[in-house]
Amino acid sequence: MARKVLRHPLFIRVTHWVNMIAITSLIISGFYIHNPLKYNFFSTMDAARKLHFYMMYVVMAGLLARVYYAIATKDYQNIWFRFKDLKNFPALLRYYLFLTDKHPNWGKYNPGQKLVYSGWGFLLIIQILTGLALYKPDTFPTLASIFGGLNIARLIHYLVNWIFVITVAIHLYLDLTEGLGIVKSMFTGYVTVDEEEPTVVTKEQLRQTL
Amino acid sequence: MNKISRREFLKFASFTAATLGLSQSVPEVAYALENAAKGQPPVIWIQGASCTGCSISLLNSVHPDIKEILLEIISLKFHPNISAATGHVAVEAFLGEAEKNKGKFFLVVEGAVPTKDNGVYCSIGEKDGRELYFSEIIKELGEKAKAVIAIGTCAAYGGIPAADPNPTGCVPVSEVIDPKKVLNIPGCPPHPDWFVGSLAHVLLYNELPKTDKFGRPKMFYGGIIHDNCPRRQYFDNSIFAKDFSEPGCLLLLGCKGPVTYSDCPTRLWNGGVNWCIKAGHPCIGCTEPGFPDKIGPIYEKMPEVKLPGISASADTFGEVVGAATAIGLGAHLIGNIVTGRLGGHKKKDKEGEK
Ligand code: HEM
Ligand code: SF4
Ligand code: SF4
Repeated sequence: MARKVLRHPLFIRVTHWVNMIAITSLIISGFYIHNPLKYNFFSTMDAARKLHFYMMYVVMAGLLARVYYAIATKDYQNIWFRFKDLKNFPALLRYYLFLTDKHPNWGKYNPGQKLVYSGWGFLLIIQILTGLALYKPDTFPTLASIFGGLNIARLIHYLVNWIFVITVAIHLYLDLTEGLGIVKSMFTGYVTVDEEEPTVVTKEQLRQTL
Repeated sequence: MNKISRREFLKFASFTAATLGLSQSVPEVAYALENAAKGQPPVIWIQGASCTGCSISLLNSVHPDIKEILLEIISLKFHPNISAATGHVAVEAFLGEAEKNKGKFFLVVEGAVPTKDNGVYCSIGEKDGRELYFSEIIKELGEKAKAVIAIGTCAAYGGIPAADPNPTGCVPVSEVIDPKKVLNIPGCPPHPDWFVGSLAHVLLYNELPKTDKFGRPKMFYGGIIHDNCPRRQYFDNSIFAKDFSEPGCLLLLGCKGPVTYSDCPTRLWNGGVNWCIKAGHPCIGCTEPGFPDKIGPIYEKMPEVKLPGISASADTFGEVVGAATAIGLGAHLIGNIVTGRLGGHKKKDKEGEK
């Protein structure tokens, strides 16, 4: 019997899309700031920097809200990558490399997703720190010195930007190829599940996320 | 030795006060400097792995001119370039002065400290038939000195002598002498005002000026070049010079102004005549720790990414990894289609190994 269950509560959906818009804008404006002739997406540097700096506040708020929610509702149990998730990696890799068709049910997210989603939190903190060092060098000179100077902060900021580009691409690919049901759930909140067959969502996890 | 007149002296004092942003306190500055000129406190200047450029840069000082600084304002007991004595007489002269003024004198160090093979790559004289290694000498003098001024990026952070592959094992002065005692005046070379102003501050307040985490006085290295650059309008409006004949912001020619702390754009060089960016050359980040290696190629925006076996520009690095990801995802998509997996694994789920 098929029925609809809530996969993504409203809070998660809102923060997901806010963060998506912010990070996408940060990546696009960031590339322009990096090389305005090569990535000519904006009219002026001023425009690109303004967008980058508005979105930097949005992403800070978005990160804070998402982390708060994860802790307050115990949702971190779904998403936080733990050491023990490592031992599930070989099984996940076998699945992704088409060596097996088995995708064991690890909970709301598989270990790879947990690694990427938790990693984004960590990388955002690095971007915020290196970004603030570059944005307000007079106010936060100490921040620059943590990274060994502003130039190193700038290099880290740029390389981490590439990690975002790559992981966002993988995320998009995997979610789109997992089927429209999962993609739709990030808009509506609901997935259709067949009671007879175990699904990506177990009942315990649902209770946690509700 | 011709003494400077009272009038000239006050002119210098007011100039110094202005450098310090203390125009209200000219008399106090004059007083402090006069005291200094009476031989209190003495200064000993020594050079290690350096090119003497920092001393030469000091020649650029207009008010006061170099002669006044070296002979009248500070009580310079020893400087290798102007020392009449040579050989062991010179060595004994500065060792003697250091002993005589223990705890009172200021040590100015120009140049990095070669430490490899016990410091054999830099010997600055002889004593009792034995070579005196720079690394030993500055340890000894550093302990006796009241404070140490590391002048130039080499002394402050290692600079060019410490650049990769650093064959002589050069380190900054603050790795050999207690860093709390050391004031860094980086720059390749430093602006004369940065040195004279810091020295005046020390004489006036009898303490080292406030510094940032890299030991640089905040009064000179408190902001980045880019925020005060006269070409900033070009930057904001995206007018970028593509070669040296074009007007515009020098960012894409490798300008390190956005990552370099110093007051060059407002202080100007050569007595206010010009400075790097006004002369059409990108800032090379000469006051930054890690200069030149970590500041990167002079005409490139970013330093290279170095991994074992690979070194590539940050751009190439990102683009290669990005392309590899695209190829990987494309290959996987083919796999997905071939195996008929597209659309999700839901139906094939088995109970999880939790
Ligand atoms: C996902 C997050 C972010 C991404 C992907 C990103 C990406 C980028 C990129 C690619 C650049 C160009 C680097 C260069 O070549 O100089 C850049 C520059 C910059 N970003 Fe970000 N950024 C992010 C977050 C932030 C945050 C949170 C802040 C501020 C707190 C920030 C502030 C800056 C600043 C100040 C610059 C340099 C502007 C300049 O060179 O004048 N960024 N960013
Ligand atoms: S020339 Fe350099 S310091 Fe001046 S605005 Fe351009 S990047 Fe900034
Ligand atoms: S503009 Fe840059 S390179 Fe030129 S002296 Fe100042 S800090 Fe050094």
